[in-house]
Amino acid sequence: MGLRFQPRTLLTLFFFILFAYVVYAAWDMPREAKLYPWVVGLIALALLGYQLVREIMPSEEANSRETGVDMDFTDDEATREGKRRALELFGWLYGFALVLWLLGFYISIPLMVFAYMLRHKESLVLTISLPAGTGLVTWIVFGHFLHLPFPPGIILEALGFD
Amino acid sequence: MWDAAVEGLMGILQWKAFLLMMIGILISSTLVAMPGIGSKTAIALLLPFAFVLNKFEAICLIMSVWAVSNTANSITSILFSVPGGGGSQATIMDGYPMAKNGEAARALSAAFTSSAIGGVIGAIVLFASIPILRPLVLLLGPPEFFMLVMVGIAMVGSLSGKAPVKGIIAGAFGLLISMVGVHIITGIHRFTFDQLFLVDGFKLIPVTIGLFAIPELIYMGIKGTGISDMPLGDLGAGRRQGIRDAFDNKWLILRSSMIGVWVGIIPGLGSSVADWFAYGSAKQTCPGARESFGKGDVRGVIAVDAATNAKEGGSLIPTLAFGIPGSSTLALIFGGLIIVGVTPGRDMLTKDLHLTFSMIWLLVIGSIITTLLCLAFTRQFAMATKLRPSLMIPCILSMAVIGSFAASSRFEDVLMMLAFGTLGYFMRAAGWPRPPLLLGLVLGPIAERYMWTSVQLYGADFLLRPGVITIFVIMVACLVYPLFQDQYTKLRAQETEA
Repeated sequence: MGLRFQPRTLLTLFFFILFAYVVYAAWDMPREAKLYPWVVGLIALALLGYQLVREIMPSEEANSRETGVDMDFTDDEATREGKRRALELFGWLYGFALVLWLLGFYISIPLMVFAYMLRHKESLVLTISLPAGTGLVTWIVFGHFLHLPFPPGIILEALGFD
Repeated sequence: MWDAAVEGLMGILQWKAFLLMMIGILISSTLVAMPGIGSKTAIALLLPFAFVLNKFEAICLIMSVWAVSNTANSITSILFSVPGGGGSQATIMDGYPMAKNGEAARALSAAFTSSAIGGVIGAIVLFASIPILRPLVLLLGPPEFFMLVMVGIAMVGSLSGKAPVKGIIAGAFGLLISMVGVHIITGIHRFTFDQLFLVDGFKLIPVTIGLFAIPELIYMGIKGTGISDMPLGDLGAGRRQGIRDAFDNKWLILRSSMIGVWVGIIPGLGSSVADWFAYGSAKQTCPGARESFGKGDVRGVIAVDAATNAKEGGSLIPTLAFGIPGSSTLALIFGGLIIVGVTPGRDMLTKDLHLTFSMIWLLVIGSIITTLLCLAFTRQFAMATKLRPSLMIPCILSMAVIGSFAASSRFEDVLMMLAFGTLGYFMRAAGWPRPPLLLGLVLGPIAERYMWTSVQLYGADFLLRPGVITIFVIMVACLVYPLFQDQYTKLRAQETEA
């Protein structure tokens, strides 16, 4: 019976390392603080050990993507093209976070909506009106009415805008 | 008592009070329904108005925002997999798959109808139970509350589907991230890595948005079509079917509402606990639910929405009868009542009984009005599932970012949302169930707090209290019943084949 290491086992390994760290880091804590992480951590480590063995053994059931309770990963997503698009979308997500940090919410939100629609070749009317709409809602509803303290972004902050 | 009931009804039917109730309902169904904007924010903004209002008017304005906040919360959960609030996370489980299957109108109207029925049941229980529940709640202490939370944690099994080991580990991971922050007993910073934002711990809303909305957003982008590529069909028929579904599942609504009321009564638990308890319970007890839940079973939506709305009636019991606000939102309402000269506690059952009744009436009338309002717009909501991803993705992403930030006004929460979004995508790709993680995060701090309070009060002997043993037996029965039901079904199937 041969062993099989699949990319998805990396997630199991990640959890294993995380729980091992938790058990280790709780060592120096007072008894009241470490009891809970130890109980949870040790049980999880035992189960993760079992899960790792199941995953590297060639068993169809253990390697199934079907959870029976959650929205399962589809065949479209598992293709090379699916993964490429997922990577592109992660680029948008993290790029958006970076722009939020640099320029703040009021500029980044309409900017992201505008750039995304431009990339997907939406009509000119929509490409202008939807970013303007989202920008206005952000400013009026969340900023003005609900007083959410949106950070101005480090660039605007450096320029003296508050 | 009947005089007080009539006086309470008349009080909220005065034109000014009624108008303020309608304003509260509108605020609740629009602003509060947005991700991250909880009823607490809206109540905090409205509280200063209480100074210029009479008792009935203040109750109508402040309480209507809170009383119906869980109804419209389901809209974004069902349509975009973005929870509108803490009480609508479990709605995603079956509501969103229904929207993907072209049944958005049915899911929405089933959610709204069961919300109304749940809200009314919660109000009736509040009305009927004050004399009965007072001695019962006082009989229970932290050990029994701890055991009740354990019943919730035991539901991880039923939320793990075909991957029980992965489900338990995901639940443990939820418990683990719930430990981050200040430890309640010793005051030390646990797993905070000297980061100030981690001292407060992980917030539920960014984690939920990340785990559920981001992977679905990516899926939408990959698929290249709207949320649903199925024909929407006759939206009017879908709406009627959803209403019928709610009435066809009246016993499920009653059971889930009772769960909601009970969760509401226990201080410290909230809508985010009630929805998972009701979902787990429905999954364990409804015929065939173990196979169909998570794939777009309307019963999963009905159970959750009935429970979260019934919870409001339950949570008023300790607030009004004993003067113990069960949550920070109720503490704000508590403050609002004090502003207008009403002191929650014994007086609410004696000289201010008419005000207690006005709140009960408000729960009933508010639930019905909100549901009618939401049902009227079901068609428009459902049509959102057909929008192109190039329009939906940037709007949902903006909503997700603002919702995550609004939870506690920290930019780090946006980063947390993205980190959990990445984790959610990989968990989905590797076949790990995500709901147990949320259940662990919700119940972790509550379990630890009750456990240590119990240990400090009774030592290890707290496990031997009759109430604890009784709840433990109920918990074992809940765990064993589905297995027994499965075996019984298999045996029946074999007998039929033979």
